[in-house]
Amino acid sequence: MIFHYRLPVIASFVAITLSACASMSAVKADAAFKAETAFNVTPATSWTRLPNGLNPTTGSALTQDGVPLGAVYLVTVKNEKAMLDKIKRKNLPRYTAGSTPLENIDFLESSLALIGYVDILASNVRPATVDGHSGTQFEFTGKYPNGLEMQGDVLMVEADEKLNIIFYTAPKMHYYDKYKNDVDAIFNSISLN
Amino acid sequence: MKIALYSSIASALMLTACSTTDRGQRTVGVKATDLSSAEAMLDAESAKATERLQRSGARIRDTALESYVQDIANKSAGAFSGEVNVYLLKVPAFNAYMYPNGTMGVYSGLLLRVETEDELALILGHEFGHYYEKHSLEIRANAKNTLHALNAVSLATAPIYLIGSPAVGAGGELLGVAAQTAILSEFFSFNREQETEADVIGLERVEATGYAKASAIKLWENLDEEKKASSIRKVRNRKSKFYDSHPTTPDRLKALKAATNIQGDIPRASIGQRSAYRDRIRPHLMEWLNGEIARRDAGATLHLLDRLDDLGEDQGVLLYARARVLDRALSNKKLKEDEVTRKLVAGQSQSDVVELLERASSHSDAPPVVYRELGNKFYKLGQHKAAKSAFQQYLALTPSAEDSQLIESLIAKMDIPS
Repeated sequence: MIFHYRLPVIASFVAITLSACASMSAVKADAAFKAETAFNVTPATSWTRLPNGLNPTTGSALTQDGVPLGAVYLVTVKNEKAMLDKIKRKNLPRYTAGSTPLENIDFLESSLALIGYVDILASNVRPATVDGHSGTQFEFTGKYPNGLEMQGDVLMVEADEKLNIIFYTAPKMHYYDKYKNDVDAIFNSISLN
Repeated sequence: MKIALYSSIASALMLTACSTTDRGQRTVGVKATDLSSAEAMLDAESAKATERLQRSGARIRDTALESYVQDIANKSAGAFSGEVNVYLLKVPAFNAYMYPNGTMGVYSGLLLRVETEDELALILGHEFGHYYEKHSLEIRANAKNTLHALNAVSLATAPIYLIGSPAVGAGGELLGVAAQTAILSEFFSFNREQETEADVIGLERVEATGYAKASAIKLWENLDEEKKASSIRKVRNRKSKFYDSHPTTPDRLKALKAATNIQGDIPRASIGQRSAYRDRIRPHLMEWLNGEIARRDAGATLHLLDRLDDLGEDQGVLLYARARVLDRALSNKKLKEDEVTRKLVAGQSQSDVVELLERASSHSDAPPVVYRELGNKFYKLGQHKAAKSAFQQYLALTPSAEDSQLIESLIAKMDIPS
């Protein structure tokens, strides 16, 4: 009797657990990865793709040890759209096709501020080229609201009226450097569709 | 018979539940000694919150400014001055709060909107009022009473529903909903009464410490006007609701005017007083304004800029801020869905943004980024000669700019004949 009673309960629990994890998936090393973006990347190491509920952007978020310890976001933003459409507000920062590199940096910084980053400071801002399209690359520092110091890298390329963004963010202490090589491999592998 | 019995039980429960919420006033230097008491528990929680505030990423680490605000808070607190600790936070919203242990948080959005030390003293006095009157403890007691009363109503109405006919049952449910709404309304009204009480204490402290209470309340009038100017419909059309924790700004203003016997216009502080306060916040003016601009409420931010402009100081920073507000409102179609924003930008174009930036650049306090922004606008408009000149000016003013490589690449791009 106990068995018959327990089986459906256990089965339900397993089903709920599985459905909760359904959108968490592995991103294999050395295989092209593309999801909700107008570009591919080929990571050199394995990553885990976060479920949408844990990702504030409209693109994909990859992590190795959990978002607070480091995450790479891959996003393509269409004209007049926001990068953070999970926040339901009319006054979100929006990308406009034909924006200048400086306007695109402002767009990203404003978006990061909206998800809680404080004191964002871009450094080593330089031009970049991806598949013949000009873009911008830079590093940044900032803080989480709890005071934790963060560091990150950004690559932005505009193509076909879309802004393609890869950004990496991790705690400045230890973790930023820990994943840096793996992240560089992702940045260097970007290929526009 | 049964209904009457259950109703009597419920009434008795409600009466016993409603214990007094008045916790009296604080005594200097006296802290909770009974560690199992609600007061000790709140103190412990507040100590944790204080630690979080101390290391907060939003904390404004400006010792001079923090000491300045702390000194005013000390004056307000009088004999309790050693018990109140002020922390300033970079948050673009009008707010200040007090923890039960005397830790006070003050937002940059408030410091930016305050025009004089009198106005700041009114706010700090208000927050001290919450501390002095032990409002956190009273809120806790009120919440407990509310919970008990809601439970009692559930007990009273559930049996009516269970034992009665469908008609009586529906009546019982309605009675329950009405009673619960009344109880919750009373709960929130209690919070509003505390705010009003803190306002009165704030005024008393302003007067006792030699500040001008009549001009101090100008702050609330300015805030009310800013809300009416907002580009966010929900903000400008906000009406009082039964679940509001604070009185609405017009209600607050009315009560403060009555308390200060002001019939007509509230007198505005002298230029000298406003200028003296501006000197204190000037080092942060641009950064705090950037925070306001990021909120994308063009109407409210332009209203604020108009007020800040009134002194005729900081023109380089204020015109730059104005240019950024206009630029964002012009280039974001979604923002223009709002009628206030549409009116604000009607007939304006990027040329007006350029004009504002050029005017900003003519003032000695113009930040170097004005030139970068000008270069950017000219670059976008295809005016390469002007763009190059502005970008070069930016690089000359900030030779170690972190974006110098990008700017130089933009200049080089304009050198290539198309």
